Amino acid sequence: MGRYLVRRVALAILVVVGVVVLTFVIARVVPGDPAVSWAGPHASREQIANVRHELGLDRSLPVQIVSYFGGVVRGDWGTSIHTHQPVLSDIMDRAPASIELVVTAMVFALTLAIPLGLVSARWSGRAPDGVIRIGAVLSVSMPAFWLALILQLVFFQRLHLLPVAGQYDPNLDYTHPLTQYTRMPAVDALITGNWVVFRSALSHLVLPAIVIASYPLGVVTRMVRASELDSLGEDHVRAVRALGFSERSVFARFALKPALVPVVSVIALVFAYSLVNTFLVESIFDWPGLGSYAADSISSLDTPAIVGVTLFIAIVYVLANLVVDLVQAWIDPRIAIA
Amino acid sequence: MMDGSVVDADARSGIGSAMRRNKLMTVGAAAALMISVIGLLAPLLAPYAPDAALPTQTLLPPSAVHWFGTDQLGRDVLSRILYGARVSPMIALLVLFLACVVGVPLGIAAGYFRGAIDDVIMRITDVFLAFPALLLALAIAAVLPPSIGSVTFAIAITWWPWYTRLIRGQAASVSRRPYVEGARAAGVSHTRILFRHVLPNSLTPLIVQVSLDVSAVILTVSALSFLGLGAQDPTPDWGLMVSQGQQYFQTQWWLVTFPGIAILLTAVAFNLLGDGLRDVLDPRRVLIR
Amino acid sequence: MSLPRLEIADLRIAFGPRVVADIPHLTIAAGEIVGLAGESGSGKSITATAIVGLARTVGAAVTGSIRLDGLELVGLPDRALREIRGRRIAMIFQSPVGSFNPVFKVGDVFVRALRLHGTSKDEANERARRALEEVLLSSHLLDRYPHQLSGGQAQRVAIALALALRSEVLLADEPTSALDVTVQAEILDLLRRLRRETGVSVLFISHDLAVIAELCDRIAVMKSGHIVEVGRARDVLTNPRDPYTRELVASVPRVGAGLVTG
Repeated sequence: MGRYLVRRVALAILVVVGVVVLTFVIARVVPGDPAVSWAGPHASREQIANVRHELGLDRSLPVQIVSYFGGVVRGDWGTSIHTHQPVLSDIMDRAPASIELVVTAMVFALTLAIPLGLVSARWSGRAPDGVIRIGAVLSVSMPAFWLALILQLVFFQRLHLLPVAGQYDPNLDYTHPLTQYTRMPAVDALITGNWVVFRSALSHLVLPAIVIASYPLGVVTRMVRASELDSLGEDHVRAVRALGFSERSVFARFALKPALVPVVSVIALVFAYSLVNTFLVESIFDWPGLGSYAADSISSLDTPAIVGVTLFIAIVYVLANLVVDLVQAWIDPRIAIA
Repeated sequence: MMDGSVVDADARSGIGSAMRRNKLMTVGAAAALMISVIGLLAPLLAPYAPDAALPTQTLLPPSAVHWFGTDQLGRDVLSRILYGARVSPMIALLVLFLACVVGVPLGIAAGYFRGAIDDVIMRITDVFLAFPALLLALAIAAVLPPSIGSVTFAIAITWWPWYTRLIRGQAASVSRRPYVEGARAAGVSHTRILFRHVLPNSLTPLIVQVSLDVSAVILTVSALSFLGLGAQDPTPDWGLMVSQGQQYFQTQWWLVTFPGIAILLTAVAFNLLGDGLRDVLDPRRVLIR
Repeated sequence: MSLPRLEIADLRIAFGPRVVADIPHLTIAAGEIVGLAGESGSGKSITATAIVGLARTVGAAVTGSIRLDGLELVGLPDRALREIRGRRIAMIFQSPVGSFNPVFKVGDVFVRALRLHGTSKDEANERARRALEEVLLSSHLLDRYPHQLSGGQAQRVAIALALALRSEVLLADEPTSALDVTVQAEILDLLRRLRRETGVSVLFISHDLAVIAELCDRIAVMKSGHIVEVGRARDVLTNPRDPYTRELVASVPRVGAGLVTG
């Protein structure tokens, strides 16, 4: 296990280095001349030359890579063009809101997907399976931005049931001021016992969380179903049946635990995909997270901010994969040996 | 209720579910074919030209004249959606073609020759695969001038490593088979071995994977268009139409609803088709990306 | 002659219209080891599966009679069958390591099975430990995962489990086929000793007549779902009446040689 851990961590570090290089290529090489986009459309030739010098673009590529790399390591991720703040501090400001949203969505998706996948496997080929599988295909085929707009239309415009903008009702700041610890209103309200804000925060979370949950829900449901069916065909399942264990126990314990190993591996993936889906969804719900920051950066051609968010999410993804590897090795001890 | 009797359903379902699956696949294939036909015959099917703006007839609700209503410039939404079948599905096919053109030869090289080439290629794919696909495509498209070409390039750049990895595994296992080793020992040229043995054996999983990927790419294209990074205004792209309809949709719901349904149905169609093809051609393949 | 421990009569096992096993009569007495020989696909394994009442899990239909000490098993409700499965009729398989769940410690399944059949927690642990010592294994193996055991060790653990459950009948489905010859001999020794000490009845299924010849009191030869010959091991081996049996016997060098000289 120790050696496995070391090897995994080493590989992750190597990948992160590659990721940094690739984001450098995206920031400095792909756009042609970044100085022109930096200086803006009306800049004079002299201004462009100044910008080029300021950004160090007049130096050779290897020198630029090294200094870019040094910046990333030191926490200097450049300055955002549209907020005029250091990119990394912008990201840190915005990340909690996105994490609150994505984690809520993931919890929602997983608590639904695992039972649904099991029901589907249990009655495989029969009506519940058919319904669940069609539902899963719909939910992985759903354009998130469209679902967000439609839910707004139905639940806010027509039914007046749920709020659609922000993290909680800002009027409550006067009547029930919220003490901030984590920058996640639902969490802060919970730990300070501010139930009025908590209820408001939850109701604001519902719609965006459903939208973000759609993709993980479909992917995990399909995965649980396929994996459980595979597992049920194994020799060890036959062996526990022959020991007299009930079908319920065979299904929910002996077949399920090994079936969860591949399911765990898609969780990092859908988590990262959900973070990216916030780019499409947060602006629609006025959610002050990374996603709306990224969308603003895209519309204001803010390359440092775009690249910063990209780098941040890629690193989160690499870390999530690392955690997944370790969780898998913990569930299935064969993995650490392979 | 959880007694042994429920289990015999599993056995019966062997045939039952295969039929059901193929039924779904048939539905998917028919829908995908229909979308292609719509794209091809859009000029014949569409009641209006996609960019014919009638300034006197803006934002009309659905009616007998304009089934899906008109947009803010007075263009017929139905016609634009029908023409839209030429935009994102076409971009998706182009992306997948480019990704295969780049990814397959690299995968074959890595899997067949092994050694240093293999290491270099696979470490590069590791780096690309360290990004969620949509994120990398988005970042690249965002630093390029917004256009269909940029989006195609950005997504193709993101997608090739999946095929390299897939094909590498196939090529490696084929090149270790005795008859291929025998052919090599007998002095048969690499090119001949690659074309006679390695490539044909890699084709089935490739077809399955590509068909599974069509809807993911269409969703990615639509997402980039929605963010304004892809097709620009007169082009009747579905993602762009949703984005443009956004500011009117509180009162003019049809602007957002119909193009979104077009994206959803197209993605569902190709998902069903891909799932069905996988079950038929490559039943041992499980994972979804 | 007393009541046989296991008695099969007019047993038919079918997948839809296809009958895969048709056994008019077969008995196993207390403490007897009966060999069921035949090539793969002859219906041996499905017969064992039917005896433990699991034929339905693979989609086969069973008619006829299977009696355990006079108790009819065919048509018994699943709840009652589950109390017999494992507890009174145990089963061991061809792939010893694969028969243990890879993500549970061996002892975990072991103790759970004992507790399932009404043993208290402390007693289950104690019995598991003793059973492992009985089959000449260290009880520390209970803390291992299956992939950390050798094939022979895993098969011994499986036999120990049957022992700890005090099963009356052991269905052994090709239990030695995946093992080395020396390990194979050890497992056969173990089965012999167990029969002597506990009086367990064994149905030993194998395609390998040499192994069956070495172990069994009586032999039934199966071919495409039918029993073509049953008899005392010595009789069947030295004087096979059915042509298929003769062919089978002749193909085993040692036994076949015995046939020529004997």
